[in-house]
Amino acid sequence: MIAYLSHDQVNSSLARRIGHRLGLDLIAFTLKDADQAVAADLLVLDLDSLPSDTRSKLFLRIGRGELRSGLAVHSYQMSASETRTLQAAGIRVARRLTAPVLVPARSR
Amino acid sequence: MSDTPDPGTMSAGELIDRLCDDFEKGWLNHNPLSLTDVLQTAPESVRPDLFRELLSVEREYREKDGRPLTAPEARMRFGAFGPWADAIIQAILAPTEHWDYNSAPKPETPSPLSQILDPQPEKLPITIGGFHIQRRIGRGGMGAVYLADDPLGSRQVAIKVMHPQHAADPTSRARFLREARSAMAIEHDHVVPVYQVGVDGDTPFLVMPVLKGESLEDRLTREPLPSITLVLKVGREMAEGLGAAHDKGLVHRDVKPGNTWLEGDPTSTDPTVQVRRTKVLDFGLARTADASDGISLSGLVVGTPAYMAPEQAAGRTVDGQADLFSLGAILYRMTTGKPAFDGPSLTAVLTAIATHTPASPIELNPAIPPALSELVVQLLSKAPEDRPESANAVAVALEAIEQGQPVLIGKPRGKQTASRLRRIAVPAILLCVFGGAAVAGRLLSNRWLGPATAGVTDKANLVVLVRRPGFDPKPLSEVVPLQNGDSLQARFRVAAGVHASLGYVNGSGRLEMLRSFEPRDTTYEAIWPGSGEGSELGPPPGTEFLFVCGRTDRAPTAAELQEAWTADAGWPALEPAERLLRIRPDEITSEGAGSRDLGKVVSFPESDQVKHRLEQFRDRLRGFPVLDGIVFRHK
Repeated sequence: MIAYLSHDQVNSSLARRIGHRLGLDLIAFTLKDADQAVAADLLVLDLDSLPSDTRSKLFLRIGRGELRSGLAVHSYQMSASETRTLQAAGIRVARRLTAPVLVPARSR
Repeated sequence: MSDTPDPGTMSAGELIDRLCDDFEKGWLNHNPLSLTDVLQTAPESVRPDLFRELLSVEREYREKDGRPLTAPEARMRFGAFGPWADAIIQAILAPTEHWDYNSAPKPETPSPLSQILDPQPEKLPITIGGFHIQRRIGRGGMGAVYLADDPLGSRQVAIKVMHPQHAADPTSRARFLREARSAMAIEHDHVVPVYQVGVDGDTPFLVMPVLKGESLEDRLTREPLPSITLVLKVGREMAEGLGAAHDKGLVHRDVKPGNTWLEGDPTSTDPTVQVRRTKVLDFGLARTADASDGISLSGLVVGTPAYMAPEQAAGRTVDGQADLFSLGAILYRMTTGKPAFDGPSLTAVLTAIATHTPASPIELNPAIPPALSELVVQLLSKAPEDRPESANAVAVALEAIEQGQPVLIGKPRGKQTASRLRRIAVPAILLCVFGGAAVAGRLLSNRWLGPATAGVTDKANLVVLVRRPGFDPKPLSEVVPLQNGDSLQARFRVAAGVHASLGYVNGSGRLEMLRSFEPRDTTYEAIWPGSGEGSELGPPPGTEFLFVCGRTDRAPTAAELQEAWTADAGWPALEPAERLLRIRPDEITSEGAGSRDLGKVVSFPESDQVKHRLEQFRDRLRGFPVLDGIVFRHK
């Protein structure tokens, strides 16, 4: 299951469309019902729409090595160094929400 | 497609993606497009969504350039679009906090976010179907795989469990169980066996042996170009496994390196120990909840359908031929080190599968046996009927290559019904076959003609143009050699729902309609010159071009086609006496031909106005909503 977390209705709608097009099991959440996203195989965060402390929590956990697996983020407001840090932690990073954010570029 | 797509539709999303990509390319090339201009090319219904994306892109690149885009500037430039633009400007360009990860961490603020970002403890089931679960050993789109102890013996087994969200759907569950039970019926050295199928509570599961070794995907990641010995061994064993399943009516539908297991010890230095045996995994289990044979594969398994047959990618009915295409794609990768079909997006890969003919493997890797290269090319034929007749035939061919013996590749199924060659004078003929996506016009190729006299080139000599809905037309370079006296035969199927018309161009260059076809799924055969037997579709003497066009709403009219045909006044005059005889693709000249040139090699240039005319005619027929056509020229 893919959990898309966003407070942006446009992006949530886009995520659902992409998920439908690709036949993905995708559900769009907000923070209000985020507990349902705990068990997701992949958690995708729309960082630009989430509270500003989302980014800090991410990096804090990276620093501690206490971050869940299966994570992807997209944001227009990511510096190159932030991007590198996230990618080094195994997080898929993109500027905007497109299909490759939700699925790998190549199937295995 | 509507000119004003609903913002909630896929087409709107794709339009936005495309325009954003173009806009971003301009910034990357230091030659940015005007945001206003890009926005104004889009329908009004999608402009708010598009504006949001474009503004975000410009904001990012302006910041990188050291010229941040401010809200006042944006309002000045874009405020005229309306209040919605102002709201988006406010949302995108309002000041935001930036976290400097080098600074001291801020105090944790309890929030739901913390809960979902924390690592999740693995929740393992205790037992499934009576088997004691030890640990998870794999996860895929359909479900998870666990290592488990068999309570009845000392062995360990692998248990594949369907994802709960798929298991909750009765249709998916029933299909999973039905096909898993079918897979149990396959007993073959090169198919991973299924020991048991069952349901634990609401969750279907199946029991398989624990596999030692590695997947072919892992092997190719480590070693992109394995030895030819390994390629032939793996290919043959896969074909044998596929053949065993196909003999039982089971189609895999997801043949790929990730579903191919190399049983052995990968750490050994002895190749025969590294890979003892190849086994195909997950037979009949790759179908998904939505039952589609198209690209909607389940969950995270969907990536790029790089090994998917064109008919499967197009959502059409598939049979074992689809597995053979996938096998061909795997062999292509193994012999060249690169995928046969690639692209930066799913759409690009699907387009490549439908329209791109990859270079033959031997062109990229001269070290591989020519017969292997030819076999791979045949396996990657777009039309299923052009591929080898069976997986078993492929296995036999690969074994022959392994042993250095002559290879007889199974002929395409169409070969069995081709008429014998008749040596009758043939004027120039153009055959275009159009129709719905299900129309399968038969190419007149070497495989139909068969050998004529000694010395006739075996190379095909027809220029073929193919177009399918949604894709740009791509000319295929196959050409078929035709001799004086050759006959032309075309077989095409008009699918139910397609109104087709057969037309021809007579010696005066006038387009006439020969007949129309009922919109039912029927196969027709056009033979020229007609013999009186089954030749009712044969055009009259003097015919120069013959074609079939189709629409889904009504049959195309002669007037429509005539207009397209005669729109270009530059059509060269063709006399019935003109014939191009033996043509070799490597000898293209500007020489024309007449009866005095009988028996000689004649050719024409790539830029010949005839080909140009064909291109224009094809382009004009884009207006037909249903177009899946093959245009070829026989002269």
